[in-house]
Amino acid sequence: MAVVAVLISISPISYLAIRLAEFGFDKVLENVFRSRSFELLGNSLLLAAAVSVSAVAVGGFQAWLTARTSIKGKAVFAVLSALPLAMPSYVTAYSFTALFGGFKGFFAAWLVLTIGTAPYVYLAVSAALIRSDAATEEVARSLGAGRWRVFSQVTWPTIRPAAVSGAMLAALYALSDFGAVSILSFDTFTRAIYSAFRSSFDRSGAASLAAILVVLTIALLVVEPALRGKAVPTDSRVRRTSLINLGWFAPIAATVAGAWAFVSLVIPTFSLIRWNQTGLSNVDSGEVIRALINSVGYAFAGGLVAVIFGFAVSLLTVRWKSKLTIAFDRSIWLTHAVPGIVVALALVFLSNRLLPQIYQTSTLVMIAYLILFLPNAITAMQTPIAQAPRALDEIAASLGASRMQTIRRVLVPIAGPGILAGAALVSLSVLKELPATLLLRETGVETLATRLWSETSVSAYAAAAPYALLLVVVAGIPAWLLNRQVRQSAKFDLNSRMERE
Amino acid sequence: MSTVLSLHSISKAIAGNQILKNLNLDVQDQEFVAILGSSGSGKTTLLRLISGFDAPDAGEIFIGGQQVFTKGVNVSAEERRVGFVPQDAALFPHLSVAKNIEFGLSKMPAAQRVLRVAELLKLVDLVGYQERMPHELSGGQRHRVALARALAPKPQLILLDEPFSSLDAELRVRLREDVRNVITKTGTTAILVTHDQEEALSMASRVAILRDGEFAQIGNPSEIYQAPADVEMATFLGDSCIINGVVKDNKIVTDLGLLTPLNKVTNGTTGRVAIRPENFYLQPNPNGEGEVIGRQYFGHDALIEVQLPKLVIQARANGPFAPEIGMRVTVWVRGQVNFYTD
Repeated sequence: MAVVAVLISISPISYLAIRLAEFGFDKVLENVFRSRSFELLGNSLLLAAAVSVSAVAVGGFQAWLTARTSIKGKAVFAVLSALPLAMPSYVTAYSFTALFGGFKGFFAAWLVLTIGTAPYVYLAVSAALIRSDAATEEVARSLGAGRWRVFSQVTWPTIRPAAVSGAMLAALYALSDFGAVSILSFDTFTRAIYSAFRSSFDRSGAASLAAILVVLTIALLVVEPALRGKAVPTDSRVRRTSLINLGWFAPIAATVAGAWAFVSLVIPTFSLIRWNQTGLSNVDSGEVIRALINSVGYAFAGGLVAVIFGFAVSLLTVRWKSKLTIAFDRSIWLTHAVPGIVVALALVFLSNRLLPQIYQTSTLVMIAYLILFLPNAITAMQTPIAQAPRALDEIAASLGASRMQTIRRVLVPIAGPGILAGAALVSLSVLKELPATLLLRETGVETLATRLWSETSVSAYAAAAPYALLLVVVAGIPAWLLNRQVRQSAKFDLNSRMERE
Repeated sequence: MSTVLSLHSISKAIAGNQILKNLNLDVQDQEFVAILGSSGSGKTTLLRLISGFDAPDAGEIFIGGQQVFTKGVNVSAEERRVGFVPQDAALFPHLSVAKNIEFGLSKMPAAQRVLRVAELLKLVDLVGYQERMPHELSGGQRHRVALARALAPKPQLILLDEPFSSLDAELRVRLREDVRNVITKTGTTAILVTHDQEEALSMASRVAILRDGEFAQIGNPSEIYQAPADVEMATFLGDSCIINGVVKDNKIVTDLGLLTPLNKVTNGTTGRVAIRPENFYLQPNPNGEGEVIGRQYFGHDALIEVQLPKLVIQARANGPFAPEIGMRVTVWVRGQVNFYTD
């Protein structure tokens, strides 16, 4: 089962490469070296760089404020910092354009994606700050180091890996984001791939662009460990240490944090509510309910598939660690960085060639979900499974329990709740997925995300409003709450990855 | 001798709890003072006030003659020149041993700095380890680096916050000795905070006992051990047998017979005496009044429980000569005892 999962995961990318070879080297080169490609490359890289810098600035500041200072209302700021995760970035994009007519282009995309990615940096950096030994900061002060030197020479080295992986995550997110940049009309690879795919029967253009994007994301993944630097082994004792008293800076810091919360939360929420006042009054409720049912159905089925395969892979990688299973793990992670639109495109090629009968059926959508969400499912499964270590199996065996009894009496009671939470989380992420659903769904099947997309693309903001609201209420907020609980109960993993758009 | 640290009526409350009440303490140059207290007695809080990580609610602190805290004055930690060795060493995990030690020497010219680091490595017996990273060191080595790091900028005063509590017993004893030697050799004034009475008594030249946020007794180690200020103190500092007694003709009448008081007593008062287990002498005697009912054998000595007609006592006996369970003994009290009026 794990083997099947891995093969399915790596198949689209391999097939993309094969397909490119078939188009002919010359033709691909011709496509790649057009000025259009360079423009897209420039746009994508600029956006990725800008978003990662601003996400680290915002998320890092929030983490420091809530973990290390004595500012009033820390708990509130902590919640406000992570809350934007509840809104998929294309919904944020929608809410901004709906409110401000000319909200388009680079700055718009930059702001929306920063709102979407800063919480990841915030979570990673605050975990690192909490884990780092604050006593070292006090020792540094007793040795005469001022605030700045304490930060640059003691605090920064311990949070650097988290900050850098946060920045990378933000960059990858910006590169693979499709919905927000499309709604905000900023031309990056993902948007161009979609329009190339839609506008022409010659698929080589879209495939070439997809290839460049894949190379770009893999390049990021390759340089990331070097940039991140070696993680410093810390002893994880938590001590009571004094929090930094900000003094005159406190009101300024609170104002900055409050202003960001206003931009990232209040404005989108206000926009959603406002447009729903008009949107809900003249909505075709049958349409909305159909979309909701389709979304939930896709989410449930997709989540189930991802979780079943994810459980198999996790059990294998956690319980029977070997070189082979580690290679499985790695190859799945590699595909995780590949943008959803590219996976969808590759599946279009693959199914056209090999299995035309599944093209534009829900089966293909499920395969796409499996590829896209298997890594999330594995992350969600691994922690609960690891909480029931093999030693317990051995003890159970020594007490005379059979293997099935052990699974039933030991593994399931310990790991069961965690597995259920993980499954729910994956399903909720599937519910929010846009690009693969858009490209692969059965003709005539509309989900919340695709309805929001099509209404927004013709600027029917009021008609789109109910879908946006439902996405946040049905998927975003429950996912956020669940994630929060999972993070609190399990030890939060620094490298826990982003959710799919 | 000059006074290095002076605390005047220091008080501190945390979240409504009065942790420290009106503390006064003077520490002289080159003194090694141990602050001994059980957990929750406020000893770590006191250390954090001296180092400048927290501020007292009231009182004054002088370090090296300079007022570092009073109402409206609070010299920051980085300017106090107070070395700090925290629990578990807390080395900078990303810096090598040499870089850890030279952290506080940033103002020193490079050439001098190298010499100073070499000197300290030699002092703490870690020559050859300068390039190691903290996670490559053993627990004891880490503490020695932490000590060298704190001593490097020649602080006016060095604070040790339960520095050995995470180490195993054998290592702890050796490291105590090492640390004491280094501190004496460098002529550094030091304050050690600990809950381990053995540590306090063996390392310090003066011991201050912190109880419920107040100094219950301050004195040199033998004074503290031999003449505890009250019954509670006598039981806090090691084991003591507490027996009721009445003073008559300058002797104390107890169930153990007549005892000689160490302190001044008034005839006719009732009170209690505290007797250390090692101050009993058990004489094997088939007709003795006592019967051995318990025996914990430690090798070098043994703790013997003896049932007397009216009470049970605990006595320390020399290992090889410790009586066996069931033997009859006569119990003698060696020397004088402390009498505490009720």
